[in-house]
Amino acid sequence: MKRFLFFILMIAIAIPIFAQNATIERISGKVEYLVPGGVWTSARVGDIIPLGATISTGFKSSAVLAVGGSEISVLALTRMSIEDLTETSDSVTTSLNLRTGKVRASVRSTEGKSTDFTLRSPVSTAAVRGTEFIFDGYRLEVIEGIVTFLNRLNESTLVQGGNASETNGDDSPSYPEDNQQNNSTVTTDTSGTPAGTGYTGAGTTGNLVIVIGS
Amino acid sequence: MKRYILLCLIALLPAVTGVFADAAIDYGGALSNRTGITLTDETTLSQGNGLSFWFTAQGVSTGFTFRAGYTFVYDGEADPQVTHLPDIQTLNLYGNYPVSTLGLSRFRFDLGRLRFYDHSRYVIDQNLDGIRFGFFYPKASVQASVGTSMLPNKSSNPLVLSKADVTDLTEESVFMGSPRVVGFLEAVFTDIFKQELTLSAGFQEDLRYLFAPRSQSLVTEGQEVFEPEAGGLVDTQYAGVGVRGNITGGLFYSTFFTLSTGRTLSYLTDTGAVSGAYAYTPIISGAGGASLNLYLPAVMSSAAEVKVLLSTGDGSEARTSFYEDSRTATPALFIPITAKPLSFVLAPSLGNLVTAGASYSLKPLSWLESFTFGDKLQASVNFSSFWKYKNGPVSFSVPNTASEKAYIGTEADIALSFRPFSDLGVSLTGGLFIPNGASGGPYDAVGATGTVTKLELSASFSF
Repeated sequence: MKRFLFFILMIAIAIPIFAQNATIERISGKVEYLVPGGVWTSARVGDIIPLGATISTGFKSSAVLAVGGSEISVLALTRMSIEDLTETSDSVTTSLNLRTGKVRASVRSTEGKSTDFTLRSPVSTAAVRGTEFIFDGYRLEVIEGIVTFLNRLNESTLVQGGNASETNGDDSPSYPEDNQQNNSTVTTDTSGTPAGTGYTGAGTTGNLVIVIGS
Repeated sequence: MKRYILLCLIALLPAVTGVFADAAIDYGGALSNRTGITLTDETTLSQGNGLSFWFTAQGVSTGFTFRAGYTFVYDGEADPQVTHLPDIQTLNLYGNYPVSTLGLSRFRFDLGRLRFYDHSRYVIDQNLDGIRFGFFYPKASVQASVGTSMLPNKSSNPLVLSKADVTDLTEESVFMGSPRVVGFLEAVFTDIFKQELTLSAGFQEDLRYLFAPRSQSLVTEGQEVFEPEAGGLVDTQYAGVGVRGNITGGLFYSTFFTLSTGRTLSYLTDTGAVSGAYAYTPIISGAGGASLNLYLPAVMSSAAEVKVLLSTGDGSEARTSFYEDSRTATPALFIPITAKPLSFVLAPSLGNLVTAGASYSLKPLSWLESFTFGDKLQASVNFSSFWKYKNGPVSFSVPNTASEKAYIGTEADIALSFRPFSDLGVSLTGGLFIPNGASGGPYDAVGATGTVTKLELSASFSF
C-alpha cells in the first residue's frame, strides 16, 4: 500500500498540471454564472469561475474575464461555458463554448509556453494564439493577429487583423476581401441573385469554428 | 414514349419534393429602369425597362431558385434600336451535402441556368445552361462545370466570338444565343504559404456546324474567294493561374494569367501570290492582370484600387478585323468567352488591349452617426487609360485604322449609388472619354468624334 501511494505521489510530481482560473475583472449590468450542480448566482468582481461553469449576461450587460494572460469580454445576451482551463509546464490550454451571443477576446501567449485557446460555438470553433478578435458564433472579426477560420466541415480561410469572415457552417468561410468589398459598396440592384445561386462558396452567418494562429 | 417521360418525372419527384418539404419558400418581383444619354457630335438616348419575378425554396441541403423577366430596351446607337427580351435569368436546382469520404468535406451540385465564371472573371462571367459539380476539401476545392450558350436569349447573354455571332445579333430570325458548349475545371487551394492559389482549365467549342441553316453561312476550309462578311468556326481553350492574398490589414492583391489556344479561320496568301485560301490556324494568345485593393473602413468606408490588364493581339498586317479575318498562320488575338466591358463610356473588352486604371470610393455621409441613410450612399470615381497591344483591330471601331500610335485614350467615370431601403436603389453614373486625337493617333481622322460623354440614371424597386 505504501509503495502504491509513493508511486502515485511520484507520478503527480512528474506531471505538474495546474488548473487555471477564470476570474471576473469587470461587470456591467446583470451577470450570472452557473456551477454544475448548483444554481444561478449573481457574479461579482473577483469571483472565480470554475471549470464547467456557465456565465450569462443580460440585456445591455457585459463581463470581462481574465483567463491566464488572456482577457475575454462577454458581451450582452451571451451564454458561454468553460470547458477546459489547464496549464502544464509547456502549454496553456483554454477551451470555451459560446452557446449564444458574442464575445471579444484578447489572447496573449505565456512566455515559454504554447497557448492553445479554443472558442467553440454550436457550428464552428476558433483556436487562438496571441491575437484579438470578436466572434458571435457566425461572424469572426479579427482585430489583431491571424485566424484560421473553419466551418463545421473544417473548410478554412485565413483572416488577418482588420478583416472579417463569416459562414453559415455549411458553406466555406467567406474570403476576407469579399467582406471588405460588401461593406464598402452600395448595391442598387434590388433584383440581385437570390441566395443559393452562383457559386461563391460563402453563405450567410451560421455555425463556425475559429482557429486563430499566427 | 409517354410512359418513359412519366417515369422520369416520377423519378425526379422525390428530388423536387425533397426541396419543398420543410423548405423555406420566398418569392418576389422587381421593377427596374435604366435611362441613358450619350453626347458626341450627336445626342443618343437609350432606355431599358424591366420586370422580373423570382422564387426560392431552400431546404436543409437542397434548394431551388428561379427568376424570369421581361425587358424592353431602346438604344439609339444599336441596331435594331428596340429589343424585347423575355428571358429566364436563373433556374437552379442545387444540393449541398456534407461528405466524410475520400478526404472530402462537402459535395455540391448545381443544375440549370447558372452563373459561369473563372477566377479572374475576365475569361468568362455570364449565365449559361449546364451543370456544375463541386468537391470541397478542408483547404481546397475542385469545381467542374459544363454548359451551353444556345438556349439563353441572344441579347441577354451574348457570346460573340465569330463573324457569324455578330451577324446573329442583328438577324431577327435568330432568337437564341450562339450554339457553343463551354466547360471549365477549377482547383482552388486556400492556404499555399497563406495565399490562395487557383488553377483553371476551360474550353468553348463552336457547334454552329451542327445546326442548319446557321451552318450554311460558314466559310469552308480551302475556299479561295475571300468573303469579308463571312467567317468560320472559332474554338478556344484556356489554361490559367491566379494568386490572391491579404498583404496586411485592408490591403489585398490579386494576379492572374491565362494562356489561350484554339483555332480560327485564316485567309492565307503565299508570298507573291495574288490570291489565297481559307485554312484553320492555331491561336496562341494570353492575358494577364494584377490589382491592389486597399480598404479603409474607418475612413468613410473607403476603398481604393489600382489595376493593370494586358491581352495579346495581332497587328494590322496579320488581321483586318477584330472578329476573325486573320491573315497569319499564328494568330495571337486573345478572345475571351465573355466580352466584359472594361469601362462605362468606351466599354472595350479584352483583346489586343492594355489598360491601367485607378478607382476610389467612399460613403461620404457615413460619419454622420445620427443620419439613418449615412451608410446607404456611396460615391466613386474611376480613371482608365487604354493602349493597343499591337497596331491592329480592337473590340471597338477607331476612326484612323492606319494609326500606329498605341495610346487610345483615357476615361474618367463618376458614380453615386443610393439605397435608402432594401427594396429601392438608385444610381447616377457619368463618364467622359477623351480620345487620342493627336496627329497620327487613332482618333485623328476627318469626322472623328472628340470627347464622348455619357450619363445614366438607373433605379430598381423590388416587391
